Amino acid sequence: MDPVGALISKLLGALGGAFLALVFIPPQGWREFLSRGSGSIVAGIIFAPVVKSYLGWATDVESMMAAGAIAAFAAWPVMGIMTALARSRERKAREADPPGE
Amino acid sequence: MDGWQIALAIGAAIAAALSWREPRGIAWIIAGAASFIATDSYEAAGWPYHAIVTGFFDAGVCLLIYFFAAYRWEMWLYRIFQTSVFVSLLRASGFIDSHYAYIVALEVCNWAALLVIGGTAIGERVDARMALHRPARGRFRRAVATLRQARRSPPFTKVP
Repeated sequence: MDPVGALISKLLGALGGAFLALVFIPPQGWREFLSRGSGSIVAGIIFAPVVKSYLGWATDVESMMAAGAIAAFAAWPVMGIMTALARSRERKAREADPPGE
Repeated sequence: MDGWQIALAIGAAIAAALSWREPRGIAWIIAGAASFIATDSYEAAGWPYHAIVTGFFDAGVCLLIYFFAAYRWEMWLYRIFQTSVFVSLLRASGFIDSHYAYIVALEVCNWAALLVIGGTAIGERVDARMALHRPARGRFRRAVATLRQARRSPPFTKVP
């Protein structure tokens, strides 16, 4: 598969995966939508070949799109979890060492 | 059209007739019907990946409801269409092997949506009659009032 075709397949798959993830886990504001959406699409493009090899699929357009969709769909909630963990750590750090003291 | 589709069309017509005073109910029936017709036409044309296309069309209706819903009963519709998308994803990924089981699951979602729309309309009419004779808020009237409340959280596009 040529690189441009592979990239387009991965991008289309990632967009589809992010779209479906939006249905199940709506964000709580524009900022979260943009961060989750962009992170999900990028993760879909990057991890599509990983998902494809893990599932043992052939290297064709449909498999690449499906792998991109799965990677993007899985990345959406993972990003939410990581954001929640980061906020929890920040809150604990602020409680342990309040500013101004 | 087969028997199931005719029954669904009749059910949708009855729900729409019951909701004639509720334009939102009719709008969601039209949206669901459009999605159903589009996916059915896609399958009838013999094109591949029918489950994925069905999932995407239902996801589109689901997001329309999410962005434009104002009341709690509409959020129930949102959950039903989420379930429908999930069923299509299970079918596309091979967890639902049987085509019959897939169709039955989607039909259950369709009828649940019609019951929510028609049931809300009936509930409001009964509530209006009860208000004349029984002004005190009994359990039924409280339930109807709950359905008519504003949705708990706005869509993310309206969050300041």
